Amino acid sequence: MATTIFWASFAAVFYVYCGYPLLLFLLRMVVRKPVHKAAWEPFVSVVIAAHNEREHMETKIHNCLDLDYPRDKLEIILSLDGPTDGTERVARRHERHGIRVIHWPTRTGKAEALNRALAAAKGEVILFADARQQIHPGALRELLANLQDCSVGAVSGELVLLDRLSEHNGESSNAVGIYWRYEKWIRTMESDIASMVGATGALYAIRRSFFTPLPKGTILDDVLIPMRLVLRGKRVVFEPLAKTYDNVACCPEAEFERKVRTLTGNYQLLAQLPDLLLPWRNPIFFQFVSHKVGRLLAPHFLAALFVSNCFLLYGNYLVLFGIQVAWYLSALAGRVMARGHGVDPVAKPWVLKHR
Amino acid sequence: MKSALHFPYAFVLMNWAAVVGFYCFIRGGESIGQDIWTMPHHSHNHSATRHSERGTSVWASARQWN
Repeated sequence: MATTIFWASFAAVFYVYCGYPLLLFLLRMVVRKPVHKAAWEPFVSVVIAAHNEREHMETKIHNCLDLDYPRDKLEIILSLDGPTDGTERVARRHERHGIRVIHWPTRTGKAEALNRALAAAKGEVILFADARQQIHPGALRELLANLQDCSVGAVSGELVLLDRLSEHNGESSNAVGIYWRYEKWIRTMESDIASMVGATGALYAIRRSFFTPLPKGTILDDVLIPMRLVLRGKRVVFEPLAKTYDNVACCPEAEFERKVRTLTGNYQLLAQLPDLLLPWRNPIFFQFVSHKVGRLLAPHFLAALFVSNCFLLYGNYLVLFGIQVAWYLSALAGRVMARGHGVDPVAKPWVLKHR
Repeated sequence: MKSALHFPYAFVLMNWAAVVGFYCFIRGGESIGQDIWTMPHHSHNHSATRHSERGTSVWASARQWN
């Protein structure tokens, strides 16, 4: 029994982190669906939902105004959701530059803020962006070219995490940065084969006609909107030439908070779109289960792997147990060295929700 | 040495996030989307000084790097 659990868990963990990317790599050599890009200049609405983003708002507005796109074909909508830090004041200062501010006095959540913005948007294409990241001026044109392919429902840009503290000032090479590059590698392959599983929230675009209002309380609009389109038979593709930039998380604890949000959102997604778990309804069922569901189940498989190994302390299993113990002790040492960065995710996971 | 220990730590932490995420989902109900507004995305430096620098510095770095 323990042997079966051990090997089943081992196979599952290996598949989620190594097997699936390798399978994608091999599949991409055989199956590759190119996107038929073409330049066009539709009227575009840039939509930014924000709560308390006073410190980033000024820079973000200038960043949007600097996009390489005709100003008369671009509207920028700031949907403010109950800001209390002066975000509205900063945003209002730019109304004379054609920035549209939709202010809601109370907090209703990002999904509601996006719904309000989309109800007011006039663009044929909607560009979703977050308040903090900085979009490359040429990114919008690169995204739009993909939407000329009628099979494409949504197109995602590339979030580049920069290491400000490093000497070369380039893409981050810390643990979080490497993890993100691994994630982008998977997304690129998924896009090449058929469709990404979701989009990058910091920068993605859809045709306005494809948008349907988000349910209240939606956490991952950047997964729900694209996956709705996938269920309608559309592709969600990745455009690596459309870049947006952010600083990498300083430490795994900071990335942890983002990850909790993402994974909570994935659970919510399963409740919102149960059809994603039906292979005859979801055209990318294999990718969805391998990527999203696999990540949700991986910790349980890891726990099963360790516990089952506790009952198999002989021969080669003893070596494997030693490797596992060494791995978790290294993680513990890493945690001890990283303590003092603020959030203690292991001790108080529940504080995240109530901060 | 320190960065070598970061990898197993980051790996374990990311998996722990899935467990915490499930807890948040179960406990959060419909209000979780609103509560989670304040959760930061990538850049979270736990420092007021660094926080205030981010707006302009990312783009500066991006221009240099690109």
